[in-house]
Amino acid sequence: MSVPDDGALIGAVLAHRDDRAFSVLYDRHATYLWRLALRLAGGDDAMAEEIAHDAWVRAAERLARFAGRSAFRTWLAGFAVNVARELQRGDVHETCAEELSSPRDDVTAVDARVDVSRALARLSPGYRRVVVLHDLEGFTHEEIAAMLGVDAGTSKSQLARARRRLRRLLEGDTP
Amino acid sequence: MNAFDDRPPPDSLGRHVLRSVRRRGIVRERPALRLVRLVGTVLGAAVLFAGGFLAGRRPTAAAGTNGNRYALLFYEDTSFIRATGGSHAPEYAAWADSLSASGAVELGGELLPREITIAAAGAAPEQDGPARDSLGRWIGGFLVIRASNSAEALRIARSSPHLRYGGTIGVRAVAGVESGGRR
Repeated sequence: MSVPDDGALIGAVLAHRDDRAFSVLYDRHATYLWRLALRLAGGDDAMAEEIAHDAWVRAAERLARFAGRSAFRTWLAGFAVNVARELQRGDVHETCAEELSSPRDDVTAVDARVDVSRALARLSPGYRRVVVLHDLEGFTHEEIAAMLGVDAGTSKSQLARARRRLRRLLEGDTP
Repeated sequence: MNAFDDRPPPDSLGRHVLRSVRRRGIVRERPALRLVRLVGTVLGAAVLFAGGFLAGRRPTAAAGTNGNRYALLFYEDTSFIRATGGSHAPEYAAWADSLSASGAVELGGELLPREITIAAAGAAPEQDGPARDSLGRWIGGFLVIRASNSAEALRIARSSPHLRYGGTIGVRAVAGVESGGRR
């Protein structure tokens, strides 16, 4: 059985408003986008749902603009990153607050083992975004720069700072 | 490594997304298409059915050639219909396609709702909908598959998207072939 590729499914949605084609497209990428959204949201389910939902809807509204220069999944991820950035825009202060706090300040359980996901959740949204995109999702600095509307150099320096912060969080919370 | 990496997307998210894109007119809602492609997938088997399967002749082109026959009965209820809203058709199609490609499917299809019950005295009144069992369920479709044993039949049944939408599946061995393979 031939399985329609993303381009064919997008074509069916655009030409026929075919909801089955859209559902197949959704099913194919839902898990990927959900996990990206969770990471961007630092494990916050409610925010992840909002990120994933809005990213899908925005992508659907702009399907005609998808030119196929990148993989659909990459294109879709760009929407998630932007939605996350908008939702977290009010959290800019978080960067400062987090930087000022001691890594041990909010450790509630003495024997808590802080793994990478918890450390990621404690990063500021800006740092978390670049670590997730580069180190976990494998995007290049050029791709990240395009998604975030910055230059590649900014992405690199942001990543370096984020990694240092992440390392400190992990070291500080490891018994 | 990341605890939240393995969490699957919530089912409600898919329905929410689909509702939103429908509301914006990006896609059109189609009528419920339960098992619609399944019917096409096993159309050949249906022809065999008409050609004498009931008369006891073995289907000559059934995909599966080994193992026992099992009937999978796809039960639905009102909450199942509400949960799916017809959006599950592509999933069913993909599942049925892959099952059919593996050679396991002999026959199957969607059952239309209207049921006519007959008895020795003649036809009973026609029902507008399918007969419901004591749990309020009805059979929305069926498959006859080949499987080496009941465990494999159950594994196949469990892989169906039907369960994720809250439907239930009855797995029953076809009499006479449970232990001896093909008739």
